[in-house]
Amino acid sequence: MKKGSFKFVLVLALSVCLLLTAAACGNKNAESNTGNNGGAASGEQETVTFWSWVPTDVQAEKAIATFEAANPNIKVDYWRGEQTDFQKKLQVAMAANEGPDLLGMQVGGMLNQYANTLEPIEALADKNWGAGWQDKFVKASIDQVKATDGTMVALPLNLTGQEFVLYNKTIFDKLGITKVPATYEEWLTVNATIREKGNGIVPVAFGAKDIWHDVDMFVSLSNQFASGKIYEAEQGKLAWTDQVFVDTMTAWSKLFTDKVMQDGALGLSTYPDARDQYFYSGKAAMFLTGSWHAGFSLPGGEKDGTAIENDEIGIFLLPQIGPNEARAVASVDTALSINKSSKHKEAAWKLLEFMTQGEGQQIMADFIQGSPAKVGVQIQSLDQFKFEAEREGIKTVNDAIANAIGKRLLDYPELTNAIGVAMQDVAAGKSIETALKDIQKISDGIDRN
Amino acid sequence: MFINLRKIDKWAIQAVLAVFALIWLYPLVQSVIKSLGINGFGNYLAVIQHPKVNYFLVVFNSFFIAVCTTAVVGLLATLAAYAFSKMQFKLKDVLFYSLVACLAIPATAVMSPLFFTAKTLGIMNSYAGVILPLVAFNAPFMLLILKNYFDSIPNAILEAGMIDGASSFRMYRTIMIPLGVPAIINIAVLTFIYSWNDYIIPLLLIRDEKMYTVTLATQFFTGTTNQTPEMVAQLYAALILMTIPSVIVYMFGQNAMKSGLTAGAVKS
Amino acid sequence: MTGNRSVLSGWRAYLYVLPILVLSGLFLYYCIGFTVYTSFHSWNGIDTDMKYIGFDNYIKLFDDKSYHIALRNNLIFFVCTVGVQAALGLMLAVLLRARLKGHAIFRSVYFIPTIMAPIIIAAIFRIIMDTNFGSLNEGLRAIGLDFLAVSWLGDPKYALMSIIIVNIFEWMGFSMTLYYSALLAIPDEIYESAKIDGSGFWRTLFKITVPLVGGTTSTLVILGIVGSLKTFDIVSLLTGGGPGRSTEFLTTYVYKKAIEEFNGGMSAAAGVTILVIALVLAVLQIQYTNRQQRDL
Repeated sequence: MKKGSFKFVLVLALSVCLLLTAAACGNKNAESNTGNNGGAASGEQETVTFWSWVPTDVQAEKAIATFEAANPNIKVDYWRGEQTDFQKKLQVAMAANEGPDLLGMQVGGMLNQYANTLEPIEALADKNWGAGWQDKFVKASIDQVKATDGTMVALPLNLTGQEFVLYNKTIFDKLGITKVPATYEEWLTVNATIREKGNGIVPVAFGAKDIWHDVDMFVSLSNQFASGKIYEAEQGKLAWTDQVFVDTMTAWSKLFTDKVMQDGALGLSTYPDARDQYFYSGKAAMFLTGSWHAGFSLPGGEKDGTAIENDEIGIFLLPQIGPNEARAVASVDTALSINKSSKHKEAAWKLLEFMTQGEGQQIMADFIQGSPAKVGVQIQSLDQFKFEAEREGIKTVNDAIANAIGKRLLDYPELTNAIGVAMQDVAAGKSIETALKDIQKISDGIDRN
Repeated sequence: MFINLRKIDKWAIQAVLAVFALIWLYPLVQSVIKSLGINGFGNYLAVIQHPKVNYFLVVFNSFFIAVCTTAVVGLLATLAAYAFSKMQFKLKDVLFYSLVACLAIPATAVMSPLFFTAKTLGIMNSYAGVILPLVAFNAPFMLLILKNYFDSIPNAILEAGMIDGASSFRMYRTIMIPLGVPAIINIAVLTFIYSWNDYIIPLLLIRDEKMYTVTLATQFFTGTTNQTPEMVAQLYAALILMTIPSVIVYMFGQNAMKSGLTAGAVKS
Repeated sequence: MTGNRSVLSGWRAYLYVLPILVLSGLFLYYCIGFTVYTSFHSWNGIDTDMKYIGFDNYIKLFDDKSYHIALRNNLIFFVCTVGVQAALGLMLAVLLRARLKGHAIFRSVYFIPTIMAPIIIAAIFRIIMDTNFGSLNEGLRAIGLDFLAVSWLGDPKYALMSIIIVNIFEWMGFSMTLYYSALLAIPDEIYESAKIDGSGFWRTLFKITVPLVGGTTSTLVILGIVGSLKTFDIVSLLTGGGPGRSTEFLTTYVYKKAIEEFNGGMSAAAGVTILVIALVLAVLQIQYTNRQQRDL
């Protein structure tokens, strides 16, 4: 028996050793990496880690190559993840003080929660750009990168707006629809025509499964009923049971009962479902999306290889449904922040400057990933579009964002979730009154200090 | 339970099996069709030759991680299941239930503490950094399956062994392991598949692209906006390629099960 | 168990359980401890700022309608998936046990979904189950069953059922495999004598086969408990917990609270309840099995 136990202990010890060796090996790698990073002495190469969801891999490749060519001492280690992955990875890494040097930031709720861990930007900007640098950024964008206490902790990369409708002009032309709808009645008429003559084509595809998209819709719509009220309610200064929200919800609910939204919209995500199964397959004539989608028909972009690759696509602003004229709501889509505990703040700043005010900004503008946050950037890729309506679309979108009535993203994520859930409930038949009370209950529980 | 089947019974059995197989095949065939969109088999080639993914390296990483995890889980779980099933000791129930309590921890619920632990141990961005958490998450689960199975092995066999003067470890080696083969294969295959398909642990703990697993590598084909139809097709191709090694492991497991069962039957 | 007394005893037993305890302790006990600790604090999940707030998180949690829905959904999901997967798995395993031509291929076909990453299964089912153009509804319309062509994922009435269907598709093969290997261990003689006794198919199934694979069934029940409490990917990919909160699960709840809403404390409180539920159910199940085995 003793011998057996001895053998057993031996096996155990060996396996533990094996694991520890493996662990140690990995550890050594990690250390040698940080060793490289840490030694930022002159002439030595410094690595800046950068995590975000935008730029995409293709965009990042071009931007980073340009940046590295201009800054041979700095190497950029970029990781891009889908928003959901990015949020998970960033949250645990920042909590353990292992976050990246430069990171993508969404304004509103996310920015407020992260504010304590982010480097205040104003001092850096003052030092590097001198006074008055704020004028280099689109006015609306610079207000949104401040935390609730007024500290600026990010710089805007680009802006996007909602709510837009991408439409297939080729289908419109074929069905004899000559004018894009500007009012709700016109929209219903257009939809009726498509249903009647379209041979099974669905008029509008909307991904109502996405909370974010529903809330975009809510913010846009509510501004058509009483502009700015939603931002008061957001801060707890107006009840969610107010008439303006009853009207907004009623209009939203009508979109479903009037069959503007396709059957089963609540089960459909904007990407990829509504986009790929409906709009890109040529099975839907219109597709609700944001301004970021306007560049999709650039050569080499999303449109190539789809069923609508040779169709002409245009974009228009959500028709007027409420009493007020339809206007976009716009927010900074991606802002960039420097990690407060970064050991490479200088280099991170250089990259931040490159992306927001330097050549990186131009590169992003040319990919049409949102509207530029820098004042005076001209999009140079416009002549690459094949169709006039597509070029027009960029102008439509950028004008609408410049004239935006308010911001797109709300400050409190639990409020955003509550509004989205309430909207889905209403679309599924729940009473508007109860749904709004549900929002109010969540809103009451928010600590706004 | 079918002895001397008539021909008509055989046909009926085959028909039922075939109907279910068709239902089960339909989504699989759909995914294969998706993966052949736009460029046909070119999508598979594009995945293998992707500029940002060294496909063979990511397969190696996943394979190495899954094999190590399976080996360690197999060792730990068989040892512990043996003790919990066949030995008597004071803290037995307490220890067993404290392990059972770990069964249902969803990784998504403990991301932060997991990360802290890995950081403290200095195993982030290493193979061990993925293997150890995978072992920790899988072992209690496999322990439970094994213990249930070991309980069904008659104590009389071990008593006979004791009379022969065999040590506890020798009985583990010569009695429990051979008799436990079917269950051990099941948990091995299961652990392999779980580790192979795991996404959240490598996502959180791996930074270096050289260490990417197949699940992580799929992120090069996703993108909510700017996802071209080619990327969509390649994503499906990548996901299907990713499945193939697991299918092979399953087939091996099935074969091993057959021979293992016969061997076990002879010994008992 | 054939004897009530274990054959071996003594301090060496601890050596056998030590490795698993060490590893689990390192990760899981720490994770559990951390989660329990966090559940009594207000924490946004990011900075070092944690404030002790006693049972507030639990009070808010038990008052939250979404949490109630999640509990209910987890329960429905558990009962339906375990039941159907076991029944279907056993039936197919029995048929496969006849070992007719092609049985190995059939077995692989049923099992492949278990192997595949949930992301691809969810993506395909989202396409198949689409209301307007999905092949499921097109098929139903083609055979004149238009009234069955519902919005599978977009209607709160059907969304949970659709998730259950997809889960059964994914995991039935696993139940089938476990049953199949259990059936292989049953000697043919038992069935031969049953046949001689004139026992028919159903009688043999319920009087002989089902009791003999009881161990497997109890394993599957525990796996089902664990599986349903851990189910996350398939739900978040198929419906994201919606429409509204109609398909909220405990895990999606935990995830939303922590990652989307930066409420680490409440998320942890919900996480703790998952652990407690799992422990209670597992203990009950094990004791039930033990009692049954004693009765045998």
